[in-house]
Amino acid sequence: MRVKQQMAMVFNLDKCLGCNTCTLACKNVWTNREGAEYMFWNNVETKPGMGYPKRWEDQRRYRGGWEHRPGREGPRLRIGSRFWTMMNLFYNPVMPQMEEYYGKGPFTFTYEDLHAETPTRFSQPVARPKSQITGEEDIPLEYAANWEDNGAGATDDGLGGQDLNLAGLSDDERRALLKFRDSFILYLPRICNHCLNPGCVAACPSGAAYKREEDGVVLIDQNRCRAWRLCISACPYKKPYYNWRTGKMEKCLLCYPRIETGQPPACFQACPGRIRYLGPLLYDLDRVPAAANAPDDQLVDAQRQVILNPHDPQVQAAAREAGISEAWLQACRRSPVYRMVKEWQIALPLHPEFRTLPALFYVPPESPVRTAADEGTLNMVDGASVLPTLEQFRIPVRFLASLLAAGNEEPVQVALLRQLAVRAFRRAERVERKTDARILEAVGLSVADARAMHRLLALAHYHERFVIPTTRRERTDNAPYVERGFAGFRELGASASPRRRTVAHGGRTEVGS
Amino acid sequence: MAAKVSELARTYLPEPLEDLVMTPMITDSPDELAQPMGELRDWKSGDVEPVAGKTFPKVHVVTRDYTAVHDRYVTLGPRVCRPDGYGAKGIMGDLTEVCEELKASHLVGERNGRPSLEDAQQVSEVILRISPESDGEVSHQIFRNLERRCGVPLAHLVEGDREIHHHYPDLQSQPRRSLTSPHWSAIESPGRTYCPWTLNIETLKPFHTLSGRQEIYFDHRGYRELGEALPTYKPPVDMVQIGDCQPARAEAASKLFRFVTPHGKWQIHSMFWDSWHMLNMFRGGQVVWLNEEDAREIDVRDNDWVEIYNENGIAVVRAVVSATMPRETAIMYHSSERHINVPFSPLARTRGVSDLRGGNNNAPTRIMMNPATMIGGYANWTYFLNYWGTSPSERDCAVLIRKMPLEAGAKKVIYQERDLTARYTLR
Repeated sequence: MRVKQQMAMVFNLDKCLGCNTCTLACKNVWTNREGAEYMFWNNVETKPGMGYPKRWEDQRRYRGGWEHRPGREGPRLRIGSRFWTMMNLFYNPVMPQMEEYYGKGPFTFTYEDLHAETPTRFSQPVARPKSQITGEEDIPLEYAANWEDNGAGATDDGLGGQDLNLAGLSDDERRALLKFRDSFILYLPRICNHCLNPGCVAACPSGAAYKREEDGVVLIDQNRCRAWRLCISACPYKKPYYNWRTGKMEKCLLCYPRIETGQPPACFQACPGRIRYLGPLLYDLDRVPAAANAPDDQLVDAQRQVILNPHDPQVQAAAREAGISEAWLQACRRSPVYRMVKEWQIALPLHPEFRTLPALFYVPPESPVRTAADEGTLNMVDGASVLPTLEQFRIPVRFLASLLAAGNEEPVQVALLRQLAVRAFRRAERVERKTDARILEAVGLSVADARAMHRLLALAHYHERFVIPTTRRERTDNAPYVERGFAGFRELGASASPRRRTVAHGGRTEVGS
Repeated sequence: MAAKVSELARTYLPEPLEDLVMTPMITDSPDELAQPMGELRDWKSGDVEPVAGKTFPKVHVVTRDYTAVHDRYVTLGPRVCRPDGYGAKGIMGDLTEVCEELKASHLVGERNGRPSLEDAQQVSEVILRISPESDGEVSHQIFRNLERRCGVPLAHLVEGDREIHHHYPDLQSQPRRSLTSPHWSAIESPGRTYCPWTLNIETLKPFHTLSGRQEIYFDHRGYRELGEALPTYKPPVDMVQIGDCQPARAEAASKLFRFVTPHGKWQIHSMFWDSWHMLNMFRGGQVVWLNEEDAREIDVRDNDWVEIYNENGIAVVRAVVSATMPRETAIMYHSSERHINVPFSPLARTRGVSDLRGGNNNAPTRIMMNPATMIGGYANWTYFLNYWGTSPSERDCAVLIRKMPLEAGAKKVIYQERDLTARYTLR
């Protein structure tokens, strides 16, 4: 057992409003710079839809993530062999282009026209669209980070043809799903998953991408990065971005300056729907290769097996031996992420079939009842059928299973049924003043579980949602002054290479120029 | 400016002048009973004598001393500093003590014997001191007055808040929760969020109706005559029948849509809409949402430029095509300003529109007054600014939409006058 620390996340899709406050909090803090215009370390997509960049889920095209290798110790990077990578280093055929992000490029407008010295002759002046990269004016606007907001355009063929999660459905099924009165959308907020088995780290030829020892945050060393950009290709979620101004790769840093001091990242802090949860996990690095190589239908469960029980004395002893602080261990026992992912099993990883073992989990959303479902089934008098069944939900379980469980419907059903059961149980308690545990037993929850789930999902305060042990930076390096002047991006800091003592993957213990 | 006016007035208007000022009969005052049951009789037609405050607006003679404009501008009062000179919605308080405290306060100070309003920070502090929402003692005092009028206990709601005074420097350092106020309808403190009418329901403070209860029967002649004395559904006006939208004059390949202009997802009217961030959060300009089957009928694909037109005007926007839209309805978020990404309209010249550019959502709509909102003069239908008065509706409209023809070979629309071609300029 090799115990590792991971800052992990849960997004409760049942409560996401799609307001993009997270997106703009991140934009304003990190990517409002030249070269970073098109970067959205945090974005919110509407499903069904293509997403940002277009069709990022399509690994036949982009070859991101890992491939299953039956009978072998671990999976293999899908992008190709080292030889293939070397041969295509200068022209990577599976690299998303600007077209996939922003059409003709990130746009602004010629605001200066609104107060130009030469007035227009017979019409009101307007600010015209303009590329932020080339400066070309009057460009057509063709795509952007939230182009498909609320289902815009994604279903203009009536089939939702661009969303791969609908691929398993026939045209007739799709038409029935996307008919106006039954159409569905759901919001999918996405940041870097800070994976346990990150493709970006494995693919980087310069050793610039690394996974931090102290909390598992995946970072790109701005001084070592040589912009081969293989991290873009190898990341199945397309979350590293190339900065055309600095010539370096950048990605979500989980606001590590904030979490090191016990504060949640800006996007977590800003979320008005309070859908985001942050807490530490302990996991067993020895079990990672096998979990990443499990058959598709066992992936969700295999990833749960990697996560260790922080209440187990053996785990605690091993963690102490690995140098993990008491503050961390205590926080792991209070972690909301552990409860949702492991104890209640209501949070699932995004596209586990990409085999990177994301540290970000999603609670699948309940949805309105289809009008096509029999009317009158929601009989408020007969207590048994107050709540809808999974078949009545507008969002098909099959769609959610494609998104969150590698097509395996069972873990999605469990997650949804447990949410429904808690709702029914709490409704009976509050409205009818009856405590009826039978409905909970059917889905494998106790009364205490149900009350805690209700508290955490609906009412939890700031310090319940964010359990963040401070990093104890003084422990990570015996000579803190060595790293003086190396923080931040290259343009802000010194140009010399920083010193990194340890990384979780790659086995290097001494890194320096 | 006030100082300059006062200075000039010492030369040109040195003596006080008298002005005749007419004010409407106002809600939450005895004026509400001037015209019982809404039986309005018109003095113009000789039905009744004009009596100020009864069948005629109230009439006052006001003395204006222009040499004192500046002094009044930078001091509080004098009227609100007197007993019963201060209040809102007919609920009055006494600020005499507060004014004395303000004069002694290092945050405000005294000028000409009254609290000073010389700079913005002083004004902010004064507002906080005289508002029950930010001053527990003021709230308590006004609640006590209200108790005497209503005959139900109310002041206990803010008994624990009496020592709370949110000062302006407090708010500069961090937000503070507002207190329960007699001027609003919610019980807010402690720890409750604003929920309207909780004051009326839970503490039995009467509603501001004649019966003091919630009323759904409007016993007013105007409503009775309109057939709306009880809640009534009335369909939107048929914009084709009244000629605002004329399908007979439609261009080829146009389709008639019901046109709805709700608030946008992220903006109240144009606020924040034209910033880089918000334009990048969707499609970088105005759009209209269409159902995908309707769009197919007029050969419109997602993100195509369309013209939205009727007899009122033309909007040039891009189409958002989605299965989440109902059929034959077009939705355009309302009141985006017209200065971002608005190209010229090839239809403008042929339809005789004065500006060749497309408009915003307000181009095809026009304001229509709802007669039910002009009713007044009795009980809670008596006028007050922003509470009861005539309001317009331009929400339910009808438009024609067509795919905008672009110049042959070009995918671009035209934004600049120098690029205009004959199609746009010839009649």
